[in-house]
Amino acid sequence: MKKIILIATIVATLTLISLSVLSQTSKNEDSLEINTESRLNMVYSNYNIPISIVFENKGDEPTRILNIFDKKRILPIFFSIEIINKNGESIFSTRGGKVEIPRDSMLYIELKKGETHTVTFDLQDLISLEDLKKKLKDNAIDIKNSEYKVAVIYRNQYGDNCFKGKLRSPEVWLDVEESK
Amino acid sequence: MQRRIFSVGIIGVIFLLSVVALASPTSVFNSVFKTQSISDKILANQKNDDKTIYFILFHHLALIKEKSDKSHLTDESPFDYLESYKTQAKLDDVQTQFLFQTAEDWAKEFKPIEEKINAIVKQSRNKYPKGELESANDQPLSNDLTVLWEEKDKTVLKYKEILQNTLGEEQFANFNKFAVDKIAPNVDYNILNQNNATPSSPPIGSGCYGYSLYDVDSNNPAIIRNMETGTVLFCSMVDYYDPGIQSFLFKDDVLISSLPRRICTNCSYSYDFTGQFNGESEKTYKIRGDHWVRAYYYYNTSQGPVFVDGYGLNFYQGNYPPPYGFTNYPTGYYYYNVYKAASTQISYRVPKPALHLDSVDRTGFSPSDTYTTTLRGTGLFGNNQSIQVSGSGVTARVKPNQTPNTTETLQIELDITQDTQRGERQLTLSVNGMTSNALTITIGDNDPTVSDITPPEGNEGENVNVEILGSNFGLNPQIRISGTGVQATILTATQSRITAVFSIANGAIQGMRDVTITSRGYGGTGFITVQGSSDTSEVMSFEVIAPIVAKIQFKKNGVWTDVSSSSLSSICNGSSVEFKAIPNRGSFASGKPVWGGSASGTGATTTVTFNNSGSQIISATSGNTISVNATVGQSNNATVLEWLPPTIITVPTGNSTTTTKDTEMQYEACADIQNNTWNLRVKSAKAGTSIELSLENGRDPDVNPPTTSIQASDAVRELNAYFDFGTRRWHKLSATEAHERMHDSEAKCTNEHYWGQTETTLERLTVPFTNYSNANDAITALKLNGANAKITAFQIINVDYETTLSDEPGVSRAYAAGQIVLNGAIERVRTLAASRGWRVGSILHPNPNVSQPCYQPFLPYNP
Repeated sequence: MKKIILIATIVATLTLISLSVLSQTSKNEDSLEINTESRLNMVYSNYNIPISIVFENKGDEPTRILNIFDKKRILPIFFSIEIINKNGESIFSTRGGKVEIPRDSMLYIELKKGETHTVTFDLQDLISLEDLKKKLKDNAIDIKNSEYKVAVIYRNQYGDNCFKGKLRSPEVWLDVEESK
Repeated sequence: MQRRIFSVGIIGVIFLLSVVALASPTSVFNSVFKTQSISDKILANQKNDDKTIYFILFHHLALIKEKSDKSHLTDESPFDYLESYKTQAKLDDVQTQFLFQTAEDWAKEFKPIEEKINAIVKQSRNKYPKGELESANDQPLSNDLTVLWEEKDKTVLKYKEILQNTLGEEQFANFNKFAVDKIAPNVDYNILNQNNATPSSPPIGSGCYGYSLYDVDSNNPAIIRNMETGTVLFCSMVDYYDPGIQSFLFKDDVLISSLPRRICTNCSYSYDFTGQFNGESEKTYKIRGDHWVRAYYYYNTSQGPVFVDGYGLNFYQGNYPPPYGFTNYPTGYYYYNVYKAASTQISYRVPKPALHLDSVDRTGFSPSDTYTTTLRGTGLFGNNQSIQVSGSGVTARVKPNQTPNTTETLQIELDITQDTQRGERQLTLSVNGMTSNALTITIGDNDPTVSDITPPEGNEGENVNVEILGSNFGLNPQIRISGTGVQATILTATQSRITAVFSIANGAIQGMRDVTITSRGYGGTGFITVQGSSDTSEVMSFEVIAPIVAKIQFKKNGVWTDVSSSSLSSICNGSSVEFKAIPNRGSFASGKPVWGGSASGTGATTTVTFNNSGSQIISATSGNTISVNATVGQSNNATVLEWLPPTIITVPTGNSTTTTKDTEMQYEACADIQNNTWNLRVKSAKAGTSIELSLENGRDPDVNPPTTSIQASDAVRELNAYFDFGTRRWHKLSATEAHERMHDSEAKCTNEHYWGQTETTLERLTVPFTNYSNANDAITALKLNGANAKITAFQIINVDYETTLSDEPGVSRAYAAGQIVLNGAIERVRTLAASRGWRVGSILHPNPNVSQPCYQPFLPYNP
């Protein structure tokens, strides 16, 4: 089996915070390295909280990833976000699911060694902000007044000759600002 | 103090007559006989006073001569008087005639002098018409009276010499003896009449020729009330020389009182300072009666005449002999007479009485105290006063700075030590080296006092250890408790502390008891009572009580806490709570309170294990009943995850999806108070999926059947290809629904598999009970302290596992399920085709595998 190395980077598009260099690296059990931005900033009441995921092939061989990224309705099937407390416990996660994809409609993105592919979507593509607020409230989670981290999980079980499995980004600090 | 009484009377005539003591009849008679012998001395003295004798003689003879010369005008015969003198004087007729002629000549020469004297006296009487002088220093008579008196004396001596020359020496000597013997007071003659106790009749006529008088008390002949003797030959003379009498009272030569001078023209004497008064010990009281004419003799029973006064006009100039001191007698009664024209005085010194204690005001004393009391008696004052008390432990002394007093009292101070021997003591006083008689005093026991009883109350039916504090309990004291139902047993006892057991009977009447301590005395042999002391202490109170329940508390993290309306509202089923009943006072009686409701047993505390769900009552009864409520949760059975039917919506385009909804959790928190935890309980858990169906561009052969043979053949081929390739150009929405419902089944079996472990783990979560006042707050805390993480982990493991269940065409149970639906559509197309004569394929996957949605091995899970 070829060694596939992907790097997922969460880039927070923020009002005041510029993009910064990759600063953290972690390895999953499949020796996949994932780098992520150091912090994710949320403007809590904004409708748009963009998240950029960068796939980078750090292996020697080309690899493919299923290209479903333009179908925002099914992004929650592939991506989920977790909120992690100070104890390192995930206390909230969006859910994945199943999607019916005809084999002949499956498209792929091939990444050669060192190539990257960035997927940008909005947090509300995974969960509406109202739902997020409600669920956090139901679980007594006050992300504005406590320190939390976030991580993005990528899961894929579909396609042929492409990456299937689960990637988990490094945890980054979650900064929450009140809406101006 | 003994009272010394003396009474003084002043009688003004000429002579002091008697001083009589009442010590015994013998002394009285001795005084009388002494008076007789002293008369000779008086007579001898008088004999030498020629001017007096011959004044009286000439005055008398002149009067007789005048009466003789006027005898022819009256019935009286002067011859008798002449003959009397002739006979008694042994004169012949010529000599007798010459005697009377000489007296007449003297009278003529004396008359102008007498008139001057009368004028002076008259002037004085006019000045003091009431007979009383305005002050003791007034001089009622002028000194001219003295000059006139001396001129009178000269005339007397002149005519005595004439008589002497005429009679010749021999004859005059005989005559003078007659004059001295008969004319001067003849004491011997008058004493002879003493037993008559009446004035003797004048030997010649009715004039005041001279007399003596003894006035004996009729009731007690030993008392001579009055004795007169003297030379008042003519009453007219008395009046003539009587300007007044005055009396004075001295104490130790200091004048302390005087009476107004009185002129007593028609009396022979007056009384002053009669009565009695109290004299101070060792003080000398003197009374002087003072006349204003003349005192011939002044004498007393022991010394004879000591003073012969002229006129007594210079009383204040001190020309008197020292006051005569009367002999002290234990008791005395002095009768004092001062006659006109005399100055007399009496002195009495109150003797100092002997040292003797009559009484002491306080006779009983208590230890550990200091007293001041008063000794009463005589002779209490003097040098080196000291108090002696027999035995030890009593220090007595004379209170300082006391002066001798007339009431004969002496204040003393006594210090009594605490441990002194109780009983009788002898108290004596020493003064001037003498020691008094002894008085008996008693050292008694101190009153027992009680200052505190701890505890001041006890429950009925209990034995209460009591400590009693106070003083003077003595040895082997007794405790007395009023009423019934409480018995005291002394355990230990000292002078100030008693420990005892108060045994309170069951059913003893509630209320106050009077507790007293009775002392058996310091040594335990009997309480010695002295004035005002008591062997029984004042009353202290001990209350028999039966407390009621004031409230119920529960133990919260080791602290007894009042039960509020919410504090027991969420009790864990199977947990225990320790309760405590609080009495309204003191402590509960034995066997009280009685617990009821969900609690049982007796005593202040009880532990209740709540094994029944719902509302519970815990009550405590002790005279009243107080209850608290507790709400107990259900027993902790495993909560089944409820799988909700999928929510299905149809969308016009796009892929069909099945997503698992978040697990809907409802929590409870119950209190395990004994372990001080809020325990999380899963009230309900619900899960399910959301399905979005889209037919996309597929053609439903039932809705839009093929119209040609080619379409029919294409339809059958495409419908068969769904399982292998997921093709959907000919498709049915119901097949997609079946596909997605298979995902729902996969989610269901996945969630149900992992739920049991999750639920168990969730219900192990706790937070401190004392940190949260109610279940809601506890639930919030429990969510943040584990529950959220557990559920998230549960959801993640579900997704992770579901990902292992293939969703690939040709393999997936989901496609198999959809193919089964499509096989029906294929059969209907084939039927259509058959009816039209079209050639179509048959069903390729008549029985795809839809069994065991969760066919993959489950992932390890350790929430």
